[in-house]
Amino acid sequence: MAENTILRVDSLWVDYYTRSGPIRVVQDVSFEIRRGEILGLAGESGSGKSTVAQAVTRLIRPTVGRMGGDVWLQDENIAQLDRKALRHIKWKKVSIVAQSAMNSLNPVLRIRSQFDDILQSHGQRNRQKNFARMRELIEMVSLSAEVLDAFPHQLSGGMKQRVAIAMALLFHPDLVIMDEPTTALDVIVEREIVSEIKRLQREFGFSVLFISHDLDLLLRMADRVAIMYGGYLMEIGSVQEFTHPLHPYSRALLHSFPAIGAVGAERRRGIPGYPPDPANPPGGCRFHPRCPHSSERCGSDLPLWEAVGGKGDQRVRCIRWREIPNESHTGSD
Amino acid sequence: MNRTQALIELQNVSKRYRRRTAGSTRDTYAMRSVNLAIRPGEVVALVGESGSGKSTTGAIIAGLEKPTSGTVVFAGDTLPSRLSGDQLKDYRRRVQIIFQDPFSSLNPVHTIGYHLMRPLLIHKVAASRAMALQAAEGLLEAVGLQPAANYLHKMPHQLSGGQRQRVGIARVLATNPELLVADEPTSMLDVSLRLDIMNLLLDLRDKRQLGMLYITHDLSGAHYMADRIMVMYRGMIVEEGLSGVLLSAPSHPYTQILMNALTRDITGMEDIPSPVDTQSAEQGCSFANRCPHRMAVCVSELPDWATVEEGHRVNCHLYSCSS
Amino acid sequence: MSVASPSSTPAQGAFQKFRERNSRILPNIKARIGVGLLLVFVLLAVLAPVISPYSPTYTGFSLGASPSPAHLLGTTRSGQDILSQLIWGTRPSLDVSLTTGFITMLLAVAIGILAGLLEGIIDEILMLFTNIVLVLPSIVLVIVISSYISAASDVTISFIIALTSWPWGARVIRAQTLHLKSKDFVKAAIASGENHFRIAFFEILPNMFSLVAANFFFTCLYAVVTVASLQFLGLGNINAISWGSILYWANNSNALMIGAWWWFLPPGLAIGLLGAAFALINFGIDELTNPRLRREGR
Repeated sequence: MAENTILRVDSLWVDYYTRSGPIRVVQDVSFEIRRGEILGLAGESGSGKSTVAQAVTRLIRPTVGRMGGDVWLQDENIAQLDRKALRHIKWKKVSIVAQSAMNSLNPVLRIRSQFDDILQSHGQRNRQKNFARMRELIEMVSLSAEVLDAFPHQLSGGMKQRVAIAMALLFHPDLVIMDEPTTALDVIVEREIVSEIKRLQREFGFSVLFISHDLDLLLRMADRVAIMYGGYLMEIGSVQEFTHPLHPYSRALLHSFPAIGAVGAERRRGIPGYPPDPANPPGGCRFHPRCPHSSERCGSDLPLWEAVGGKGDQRVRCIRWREIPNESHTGSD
Repeated sequence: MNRTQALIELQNVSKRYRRRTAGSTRDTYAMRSVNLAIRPGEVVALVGESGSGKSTTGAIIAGLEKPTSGTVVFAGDTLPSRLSGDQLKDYRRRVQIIFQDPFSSLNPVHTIGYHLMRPLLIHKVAASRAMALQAAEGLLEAVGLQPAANYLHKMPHQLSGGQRQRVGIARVLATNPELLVADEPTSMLDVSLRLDIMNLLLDLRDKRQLGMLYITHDLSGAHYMADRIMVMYRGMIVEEGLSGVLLSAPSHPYTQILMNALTRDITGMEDIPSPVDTQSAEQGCSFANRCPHRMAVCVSELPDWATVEEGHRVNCHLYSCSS
Repeated sequence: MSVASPSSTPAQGAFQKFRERNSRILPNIKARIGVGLLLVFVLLAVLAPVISPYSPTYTGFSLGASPSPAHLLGTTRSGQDILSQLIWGTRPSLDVSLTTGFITMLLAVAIGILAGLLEGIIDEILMLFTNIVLVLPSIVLVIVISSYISAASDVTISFIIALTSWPWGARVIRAQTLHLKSKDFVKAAIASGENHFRIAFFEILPNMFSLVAANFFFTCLYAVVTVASLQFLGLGNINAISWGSILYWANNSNALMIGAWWWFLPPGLAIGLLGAAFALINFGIDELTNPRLRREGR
């Protein structure tokens, strides 16, 4: 593994069990996250993006589903670790902030005892030292130390999400996975938290896997962006490369955000049809039934996760990416 | 402005919720002296964060809530504080509402066909069940669910979110309404489906000359949809204007912050006031305690409307003082 | 947790499959056993004239006989065939419990939905009334009333039980009505012009089916046991053939002391089994509709 790679996911797949047998919700997902970068993972509901986050941190319970492939966090394969080793790296090397993080705080405990619980369970029993660390973290996420003595219900949604972020940073992890951490918040609070995350990330140099349905937001905050559809990664590339995305789905998605500010918004066309049913996905490329450029081959051949070449490491999963005229792109600019 | 008569007009409408907790009553205002008018064929976007009172405004227009004070004028007639009987039924037929959550706006025990046929039968749009069934098929086709016969006998859980929202739109069209309240109709939908739903609503507006209140938290969506935009904060309309005009020169400090959050570079956002939410002042401006330009008068007095330019007004002391 | 990567053993996979399958079927098993049991009793009641070997009231057999091929459960001290009594006794026991369950359900639904839908002063009056009835000691009341009306008929007892046991269901149904009323689909129905009656019975009630059914079966269970106890105490009609009256006569004849198990055990067991049937159906419905158990897979 390259020296500055923090996470390398290789051929990851996940099945969920259902009444009619297991269904594949994530298939052949491979990507890397480098040290100190933010990778944005975009996708619609049911695309498998949250499942990727759960698989990477091994949060898929065996009664619910199963997974395979490799998840290398530096030199450890998370997919193969036993329970004990897993507990050791959670919080310390990789931590997770979920969309529901703000609701997963224990309602009857003060914030400080919730911090204490995590610290104690990792063998940090010096109360004074622990308190100092909490204070430091709470102030780091721009909250006042009084928050530590509050109960969760006394805090606003944005404040709770900041607490959750502070908790995730307790042990200086190398990687923080954020699964729609701002989706439930209002626009202004969302942007505040995102800029806070950017600031912290620059200051401490950890890497972030930031999952969101809001491609516009990701393009403004991340270093690189990956797009998922129907359980597959469709395209990955730097933010600059995404000003001219190669995959028809990426293009359509970018085009779906009405531009703001221009006088007289012109009508735009949406993406026809509906996202695929994971229990009964279309054959070939998952996007072909909705794709304006699909050919016969798209319905039968599964496109490869192909490197585009050039100096970046942009990849795309589309048979026709070379043939599709580039003029049809419309960025959000 | 008064070329055509307004379809609906809210005049100084306030809505107070009284919460009783162990001996003490606490009042919160969801709407404070809201004035609003929608003309036929016009889309007015009401933009605000959660808790701004935008959904309450929609519920009052849809006749699901009653204002605490103020008057509602519909098609030239002042409505009584309590609608009943034929008048209520008539209002229900002419004003319809689309809800945000397509997963809870359809009754899980009824078929799609039932949902569409009920309003047709209630308002005698269709004379018989057979005719209602036929009309229901037509409605499904009108919202792009084809072949319609496939959907009539399905249960809501058999449809995806996007399909359900289309059924929700088909249902409100059943009575051929004149005014539509769309309460965040796309916010629970996937990005790739939003534009389609917005376009569908715009097409319907064009075809039927519907007046529409489009409630949203998304300024860019408001821009796409609306002829006029009204920005709401904590029960108060803070700024209103023609979409393009308002967005090219947002004037209220709140609108400016909202715009910056959407357009400016993520990292250049340190100038946003603290998100600590306290009770809004009773007498003063709703935005006073988050406002970066707060003055003494902001806390004590309600601001007046000031005209920024043709078709663009702002409800802020900064402007009433200077002009 | 385990990961079914290439390194996991086949046994592990099989175990997962086992758990997966069971977690889905188990909630149903209770309901299925309950319904099965109930069906057996219903068949017994319906087919009593066909399968019962003798008339339950015929007194001409030898007195107090032990089980024999001619009398599988022996005879009473007054020379009646106990098996025949047991089979015929199914009818009143089922009747009384289902009637009670039904009346209680009607009262609970009517009052609960009305209170939840109308709010305001009507709600407060109804809830005050409900709470008063709720704290009345129902068993005591039933005993007092039925001893006052000597030899109370089954229907009378049904009504007394129903009149004292609806409040619990009414409160639950009111709470659920309030919850459903805030749902968008109810608001949408109001906005499309539906009247109160349609809102209550076509929009809200069908969504509470499981709650109402669970309430019904729970009351049935309560009624089976209560009625049998009353009859055992001699407060019902002791001359009618029912499981409770068999027990009453067995007790009167010191069946327990002389060890005539074939006299008191079968009716006791029947009461227990019918009660268990209702309880199992109730549990089954509860588990099937419990969102935590419904979340399995997606």
